[in-house]
Amino acid sequence: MGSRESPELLPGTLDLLILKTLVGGAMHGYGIAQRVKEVSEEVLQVGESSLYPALQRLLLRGWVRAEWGASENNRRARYYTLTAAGRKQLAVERQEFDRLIVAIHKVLNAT
Amino acid sequence: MRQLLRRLRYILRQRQLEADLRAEMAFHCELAEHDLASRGAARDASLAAHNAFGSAALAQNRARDVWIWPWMQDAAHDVRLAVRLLRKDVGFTVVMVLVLGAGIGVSNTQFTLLNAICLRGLPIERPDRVLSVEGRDPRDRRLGLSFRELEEVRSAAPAFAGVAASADLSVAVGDAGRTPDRAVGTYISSEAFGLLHARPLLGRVFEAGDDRPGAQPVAILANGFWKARYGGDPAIVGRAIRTNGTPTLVVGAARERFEFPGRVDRRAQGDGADRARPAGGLRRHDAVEPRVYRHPHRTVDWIPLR
Repeated sequence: MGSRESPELLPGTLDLLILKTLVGGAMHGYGIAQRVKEVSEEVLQVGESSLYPALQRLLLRGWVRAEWGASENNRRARYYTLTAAGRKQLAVERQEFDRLIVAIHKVLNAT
Repeated sequence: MRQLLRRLRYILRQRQLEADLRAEMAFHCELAEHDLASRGAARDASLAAHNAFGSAALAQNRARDVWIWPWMQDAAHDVRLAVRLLRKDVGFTVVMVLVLGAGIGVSNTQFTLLNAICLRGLPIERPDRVLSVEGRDPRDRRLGLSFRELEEVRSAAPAFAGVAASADLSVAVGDAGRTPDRAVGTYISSEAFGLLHARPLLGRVFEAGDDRPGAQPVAILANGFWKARYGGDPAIVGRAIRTNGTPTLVVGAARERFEFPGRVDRRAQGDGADRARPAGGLRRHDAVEPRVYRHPHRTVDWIPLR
């Protein structure tokens, strides 16, 4: 516990990470957090105090759908799936993010 | 729009959905503790649980803020508190309600009178049949329409009796040998006066020829401005003044209480001070110069004026 979202995370990046993680299929909240942690080799730790509000935000925008189902150990868990709108949003945000990174690079490498 | 529906659904089923979220986060917590335990993390279990509880409450508050704007939650809270306080002292409440009721009644009557005098007095035959068209950018800020867009509205809406355009601007009105005055003016296309069935007090209204590019710039002075700057001198009609440095022919003076519909609301709230100072000069000259604003995602709203 006590895991914290990396404070350096750029605004809006968490939504992007969640959307991307859901491309592989339906996942519950804990699964998403674990997956992000694993793939980023423990650099990105998503705390629940930012994860669940973010998921609610995505629900509100209609980018993900939530359904109750049985977890691996047969517990009731809420599974999130990407909607078509969410897929589109992922592409948009990804592009925006790449643009931002390129821009930051340019500034850092400017002579 | 669909977001609004989702919000509404959330508010209607708030209890259920918050319970869902709690269950979901309890599940999260359990899995996390299980993981910690299986990895043999040497952490004080009760401290970990306590931390988890704190962040869970925060997460739930933040999650709720996503759906229901915080000010709405605050307002609901305030109302509940107010009702409890009022119930505590019934006598005070009854007197207060009576006093407030009388106060609101009086000002309401005043407004109704003002409404009858000022708004209905407008030279528009059927205010409910007047539409205002304006552009909005994707962030819902108001934008004007370009000349080309105006032409599109004209050709796309044959059901209208007519379409007129206007744009407000700040005008410095000057004459030889006098300090200029600053006033709020309106560029207006020549159809407007015909549509409003407005007659001037002196001189003439704008006519079709005034619209052509290269035509002599002409102005109609608002009644208040005419009185304030020219002392109500009828000889002003036919004289040349300068508007923002452009020589402009005064062709008329407007009747008292005539103002362009765009400023109806200000009149309704006016306490007299508004009307006493030179509030407006109506004028038009080369506004027909095609200026095209381009915006990739602009939408056009139709707003009924009341």
